[in-house]
Amino acid sequence: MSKKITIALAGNPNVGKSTLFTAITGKRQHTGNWPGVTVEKKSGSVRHHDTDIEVVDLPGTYSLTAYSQDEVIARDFIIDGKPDVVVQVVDATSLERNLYLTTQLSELGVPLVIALNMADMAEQRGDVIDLQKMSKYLEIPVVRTVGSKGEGIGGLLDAVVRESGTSPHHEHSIGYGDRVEPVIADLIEALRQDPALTSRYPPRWLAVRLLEGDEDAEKKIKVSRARDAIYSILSGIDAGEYEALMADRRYEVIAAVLPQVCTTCVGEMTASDLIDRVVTSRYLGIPIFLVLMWGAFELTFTVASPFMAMIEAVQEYLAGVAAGIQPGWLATLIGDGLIGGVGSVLIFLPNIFILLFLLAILEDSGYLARAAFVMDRLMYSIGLPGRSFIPMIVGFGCNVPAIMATRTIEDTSDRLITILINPFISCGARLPVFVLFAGLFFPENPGTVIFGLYVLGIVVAIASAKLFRATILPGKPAPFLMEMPPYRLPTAMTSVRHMWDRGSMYIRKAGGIILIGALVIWALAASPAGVEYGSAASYAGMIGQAVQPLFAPLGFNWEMTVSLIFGFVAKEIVIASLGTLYGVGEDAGALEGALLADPALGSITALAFMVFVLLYLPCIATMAVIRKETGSWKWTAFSIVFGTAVAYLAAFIIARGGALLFGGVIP
Amino acid sequence: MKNSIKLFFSGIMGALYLGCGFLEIGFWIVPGLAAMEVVPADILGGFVLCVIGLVFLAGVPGLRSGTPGAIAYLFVGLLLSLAFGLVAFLAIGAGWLETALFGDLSEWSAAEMAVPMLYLALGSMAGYAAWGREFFRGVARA
Amino acid sequence: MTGLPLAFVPAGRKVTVSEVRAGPGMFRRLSSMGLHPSSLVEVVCADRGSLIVAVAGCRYALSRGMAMKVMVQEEGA
Ligand SMILES: Nc1nc2c(ncn2[C@@H]2O[C@H](COP(=O)(O)OP(=O)(O)OP(=O)(O)O)[C@@H](O)[C@H]2O)c(=O)[nH]1
Repeated sequence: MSKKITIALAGNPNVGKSTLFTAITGKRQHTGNWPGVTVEKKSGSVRHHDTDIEVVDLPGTYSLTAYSQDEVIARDFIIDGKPDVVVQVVDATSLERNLYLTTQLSELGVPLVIALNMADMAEQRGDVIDLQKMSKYLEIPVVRTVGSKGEGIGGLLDAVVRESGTSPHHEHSIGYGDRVEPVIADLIEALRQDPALTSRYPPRWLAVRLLEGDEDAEKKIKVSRARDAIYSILSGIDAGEYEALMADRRYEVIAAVLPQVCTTCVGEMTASDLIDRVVTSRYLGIPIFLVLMWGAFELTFTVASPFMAMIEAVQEYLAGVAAGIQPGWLATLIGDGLIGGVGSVLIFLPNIFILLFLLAILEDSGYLARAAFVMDRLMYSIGLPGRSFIPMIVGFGCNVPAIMATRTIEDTSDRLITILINPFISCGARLPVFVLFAGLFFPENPGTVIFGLYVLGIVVAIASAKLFRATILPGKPAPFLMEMPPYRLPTAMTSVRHMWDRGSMYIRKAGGIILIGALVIWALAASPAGVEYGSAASYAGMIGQAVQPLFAPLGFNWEMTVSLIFGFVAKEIVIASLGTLYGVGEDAGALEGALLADPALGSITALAFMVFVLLYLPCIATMAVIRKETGSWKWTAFSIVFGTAVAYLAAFIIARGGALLFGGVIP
Repeated sequence: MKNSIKLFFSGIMGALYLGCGFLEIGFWIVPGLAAMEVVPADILGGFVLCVIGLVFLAGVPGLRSGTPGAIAYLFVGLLLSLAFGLVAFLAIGAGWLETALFGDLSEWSAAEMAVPMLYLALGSMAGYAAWGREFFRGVARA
Repeated sequence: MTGLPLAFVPAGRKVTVSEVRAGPGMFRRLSSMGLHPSSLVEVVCADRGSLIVAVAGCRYALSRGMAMKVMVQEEGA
């Protein structure tokens, strides 16, 4: 007989839920050593003996009271998703805090299993935890796991299956003492007037939530017929006092249990703390951060260059082969469309992969949270909380996960600003444009130009944040409060895996949307029949020329205009379509030659073009995620219009300013 | 006893890094000053060297007075120095690979290896071999 | 019995929280993170205004404003 159950992985942030999820289901989830990596619920499934288990990985939360978007998702699933078993993943190195959530979960009355994760870390430190006693005192099965090594998964699933059979569930609740209990009893009495509500949620749990002033519980009451009775009870007491009493009581219970089940060796300053003293110190903190960024930047470009040369060599060879293909239209399709278009993008994969690898190391080591701490003061002065810094760094890889990561920001206007400025952070897809143009038109110091573009992106982001604060979204940023995870030496394996998880997207994109884009542009450039390929008389030429007057003040020619129009699909397409339009297939490396030879293009125009690509509309995927996260078309449209306006203005200043300074004439 | 070695080491490494850093920046700003064979003109690289040097030096007062946490500056300094040694090594290695594949290796000389970011890291390797283990017992491996 | 704000405690000192003077929401949040009256706090870093504290084996970064609202007492006092 086969059973089907749903389990939820819940727990504090950064305790290893996603790692455990991956170990259980084999489905890879992004993990990282900072709180707030998972911001969405993800499900996977596994078959254990004869039970089909649907596993749901939830964002981390410190309590069942939700403050930010990701916590709301976790709470709603635990409370309203009615999982058969909740597995609370507990960090064995900080039991006291983790058990606070346990006290809340056990009041809820769902079958609960504790996965005592990071057991290796606790043991290494010298802690001794008695699992039997722990599970006896808490009346909850406790299983030792080490998510990162996949230990204890079988035992955990055994316990889950066993627990899913036990019903009805015992509600082991804490007694809150003489002051609080009578009020709880009154509240339960009042709640009973609404059987519909009490059949969905345990009355005692609701009563406790109400006493603690939980907004979600209040919302449930507002529509209930027990409302008036409850309001009259609640208005008669000092909520703040009760809340404090109850929190105290929870910790008293934990404090009573803990010494009996474990001996811990906390208290000494760890190496992690000592490192923090240095890397967050007043004068060295920001310089150390900048220096690390420079190192990442240096590696991204220098190490990639031999690999880029290799890909280019392969491409050149293929282009030679393609040129011999008959009939001729097929040769241009393959040569110009495929190799010229998609190939021009593939060359830059080494850069993107190295960048992502370094970002993965940054995430896995635990330094990312420190970077947010170090930048807090600076961020505060532009009107954002330090937390907003994390999405900005993640944005260097890709804006989509970065915008998702803003879910951990509690304050809605803080979050909105962080979302709106993120597209200005230069993602990996824009890198190809910069590398190509900077290398061609600024051969003396391409690195400085590219670095400058990154800095410009950040400066524009910061200036926009300040502007939004001063105008449409006034207010003060929320105070900084964030967990600092312990440092870990990232293993090459996990960092490579993270790099691959995020980087493979760029490969898929090259084989999918960019390929399609390149083919569409090729078709437009090759038709109507009989037209000279890529000439102004082709459809592509007509489209370009129709729109080009708009960009004429910036000095862009029609080929560039077409590439910008299609580039909103994905920014790599800018390069792909230039490659296609300049028809460089027959002779790879000729895109460079063709661009240099174009009289319309000088270094000033090239700079204006790069700046425009850096700042103009976010790509389709980013637009979609902005729409989803802000929940509003208005803000999405705003982001598009604002970005494009800023881009146009900046490019205009460069084009015109350059023309004035150097006397160059822009047609 | 042992602390005096650490103190001495921090002071020397700090001074060397800071010195080389200033030279690199100086050479970059004043083009007239011919760069030395072993110290290139590089403003950003010079800044990196200066920061590493400052981290080493920041630990010196604490090490002298025996403040417990002061050792951390030495270790973070070692760590940064090794990390950037690796950066320099990889960057130079990539240059070598590119020349080996597409260019003429005879044009490539070992003198390109002579950048402070790389050879100063050798000193840190010794320091790391001596004291690294002691410190990193505390930083768990993931 | 209230003592001094956490923000004034120098690095390396261990103190006990005596009172959290925050609004209900913030109080609950700090509680669930382990920062509640009677918990033991060690200040790890304190030289940039905001601080990093160790509470029950976890490290938190707190802005100075927040640290002003947490009243503490010297251990043993
Ligand atoms: N040593 C050790 N490390 C672990 C273990 N489980 C997870 N980790 C590491 O802990 C870090 C956090 O893991 P995640 O799986 O991202 O944590 P999470 O709970 O999903 O975090 P959020 O998404 O922020 O809620 C990662 O760097 C893991 O490699 C474990 O059992 N032992």
